[in-house]
Amino acid sequence: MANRTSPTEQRPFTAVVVRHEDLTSLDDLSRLIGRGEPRPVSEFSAGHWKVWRWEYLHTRNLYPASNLFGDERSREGGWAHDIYVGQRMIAGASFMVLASPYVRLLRQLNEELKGALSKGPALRYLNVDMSRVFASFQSGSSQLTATKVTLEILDELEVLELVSLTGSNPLNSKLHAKIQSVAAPYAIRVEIESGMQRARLSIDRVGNLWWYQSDERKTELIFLALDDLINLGAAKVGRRLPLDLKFKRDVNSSQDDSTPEEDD
Amino acid sequence: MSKRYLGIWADADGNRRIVSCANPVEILHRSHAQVSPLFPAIPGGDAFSVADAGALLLLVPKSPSSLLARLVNDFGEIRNHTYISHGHASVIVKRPTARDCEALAAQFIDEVRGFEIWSMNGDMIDPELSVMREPSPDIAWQQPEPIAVNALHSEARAQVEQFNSNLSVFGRLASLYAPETHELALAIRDSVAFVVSRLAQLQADEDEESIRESIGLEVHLVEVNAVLTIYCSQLGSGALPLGSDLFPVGEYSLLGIGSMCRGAWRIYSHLNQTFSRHDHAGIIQRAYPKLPPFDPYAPRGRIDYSEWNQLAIRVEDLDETPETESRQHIPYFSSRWGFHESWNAISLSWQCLYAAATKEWNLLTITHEYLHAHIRDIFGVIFDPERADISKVVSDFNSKSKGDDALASMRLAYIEAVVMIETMAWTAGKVDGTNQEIETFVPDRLSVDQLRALYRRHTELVHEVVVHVLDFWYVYDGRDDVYVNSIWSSWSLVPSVANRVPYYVLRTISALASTSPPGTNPAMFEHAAARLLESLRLINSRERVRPVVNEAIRLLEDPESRRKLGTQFAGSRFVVELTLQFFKDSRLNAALVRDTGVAVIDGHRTYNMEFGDYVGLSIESPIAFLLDRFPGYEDQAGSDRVEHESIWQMLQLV
Repeated sequence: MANRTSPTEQRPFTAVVVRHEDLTSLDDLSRLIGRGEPRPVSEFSAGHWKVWRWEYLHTRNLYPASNLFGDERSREGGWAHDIYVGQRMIAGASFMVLASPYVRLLRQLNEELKGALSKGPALRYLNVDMSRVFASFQSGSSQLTATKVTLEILDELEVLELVSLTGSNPLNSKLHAKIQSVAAPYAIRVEIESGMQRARLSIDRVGNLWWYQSDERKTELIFLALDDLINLGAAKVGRRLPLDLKFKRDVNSSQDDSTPEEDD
Repeated sequence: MSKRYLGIWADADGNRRIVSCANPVEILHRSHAQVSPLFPAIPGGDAFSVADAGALLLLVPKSPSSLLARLVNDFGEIRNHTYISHGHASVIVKRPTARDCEALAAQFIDEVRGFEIWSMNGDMIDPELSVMREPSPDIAWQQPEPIAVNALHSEARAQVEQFNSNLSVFGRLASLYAPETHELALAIRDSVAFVVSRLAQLQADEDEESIRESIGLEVHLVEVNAVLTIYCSQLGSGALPLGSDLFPVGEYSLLGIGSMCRGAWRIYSHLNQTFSRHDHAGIIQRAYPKLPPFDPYAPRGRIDYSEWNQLAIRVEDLDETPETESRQHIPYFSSRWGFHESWNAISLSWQCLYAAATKEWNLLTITHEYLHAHIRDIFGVIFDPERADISKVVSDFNSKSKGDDALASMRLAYIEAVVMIETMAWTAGKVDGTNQEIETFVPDRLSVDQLRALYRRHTELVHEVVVHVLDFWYVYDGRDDVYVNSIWSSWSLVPSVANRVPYYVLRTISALASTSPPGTNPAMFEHAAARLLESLRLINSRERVRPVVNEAIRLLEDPESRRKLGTQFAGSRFVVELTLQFFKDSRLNAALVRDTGVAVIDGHRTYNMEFGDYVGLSIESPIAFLLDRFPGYEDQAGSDRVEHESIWQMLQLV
């Protein structure tokens, strides 16, 4: 199983899920990018996912300046940025999770992939029919627990855009029932437990995923939770990079509108 | 310059020749010449030229936005040889040979209604190697039955016979190119059938009233036919085989404007379906007679409207099931009428074809016209003093009765509104800046004739204020910057506005006051007037001189004019409150802008699409999409980019 994450990587992770027929393995990714080390740092399976922690070699400036790493991150070919990569097939198509604490790094990786694939079909990105997800959780069809839901408010004249409801079952609350006619499902945070481990995964309807990772052992739970969400049948694909639909261009670290959530 | 024209003409031997040019006049004098402008799909790309083309593939997509998303993103460098147009053949691709075109067309066979391949031999279109796949009628299309004319006399019969023919033509064209308009075909057929049955009933009557009604209905038929023929011409322009019909607008004579018509239908049908699902007029008609009366004179001193807050009989509070079938308008482009609404049709300014991506000719203006239909329906069920026996309601008003039920109360509130407006208009007329004693006239007891006179004088303002308030809330999200910008940029080009600037200022202030903090009339007026002045000054800082905006600013800066407006506002404020308390519906508001493709970035709702992006997004709310685009529009028409963006924008909606 995975090595322990560096203390500097214990922070909110952001991820997107890309779909492309030429991205079926870590080897495909590293070959297309032409920068990565051919071997992953670690690898494991989680549900339908094959997951690797992989060193993406690039210039150092993709990290925030405040992150002062020692020379142990320096490699021939560049600076080693840890990326989690997960791959699985869904309905005959290959999907790949790309996860990092650093939005700028993910953007850079996306740009390089786009360039490498410019002659043929473009990358597509997973997004979610959030109404369907909400309905599934309301009816109790998922194994997971939804402990936070975010709704887009549609009639409040720009003074109110998003509202979050947090609790043991906010989707079945009276308040949620009351505002449904003037609100649209936007994001959800689900919890998954296994043994003594617990993890929380958030996903918004345009396809951004985020979680707080204090320990790499929780990464497995994150991918299991993602499997569960996909099994609800609410996954779709689109052409817009989810990061562009959440973060302004100058943002680098994963930010929710609230304080980043920490696990216990 | 990204705009270049694709043109064809016939030589003396009857061969079709192809040409590209910067100015259509260069070739329109030639035999059988037709042209249409093309723009590169990717902004900044090379303008269209036939010089290096071996063949052209002209695609008629079912969904231009989906097809373009695939073509531009998934086919490599072909994107650099892809062009967009206003017509049904909205996507044109240059390829080296006809065979290349065939191979490409095969990739999109399920996404197109039809296509043509023009194989070129020099500048001649080779008929042997050119290919056409014509559209087939949509399998779901059911052509409405003609209406029987036997029971009608000759005047009406002639009109209905023409209508049957026009409807047939519409059905044929729409089933091939715009099957999404099926509900329109059914609705206008039903509307005319209703008129016909009424005419048949009236024919036996020879009294003056029946004859007047018959004439009115026949005029209605004439209008339907006039609009339907224009619509058929526009929607059917650019049908395959291309070049066989001439669309009689030189600029678009080859490919027509079919995709623009489909875009206009998309915007209109979203509005109409959303409003129909909420059926406010029907709900008021069914529910209000069953509800207890309220106090229509409740606002004490016309300042404190909180008593109405407690009533819970807004349309959004009522749990009635919508029942009424929606009425449909034919949405067409008109250079004569601009943005205009009538019983059967809504016209969009012709300028939108090349300038919809400007503040002056933006497509959101259609919502104002649509809301007029919505409000007319609501007030039609509440009160029509021209037709009904109004002696009881006049008597109730004079005795300050609340009426027998909520519907009666609403009628009385309407009378109170026109009385208020009359009173404050009269008072404003006395304001002459010399601080003389003002003798206020408050009509205490009305006669039937006086009420009808008040109604005729002030109904226009009442309707306009209600429309403006709802437009401001539902469509423009309460944003001064977008709302004032949109309406005053449009008005600055309308000659009739120049003669009535104070009236338009009052209307705008009334709309803005709906989001001002509640308070006294003067306080709310000052708050709203300051907001309007700020927005108008921003408009005036732009390049184009706008006399109407200058005049509005002058009025707001002149103390005497401002006092007059403030006095009149006291009357229109009553209508603002009536609208907010009874006619505004948060659920309808939400439904108009609901779209799962919207993201919230840094507190701002947006699609985050740049001009030239092709992402294949199915836009669920054309209104939300246009609102998102508005801040980035150029001020006025005239640049290449504006027309290019206008086409790109419309193709996203189809």
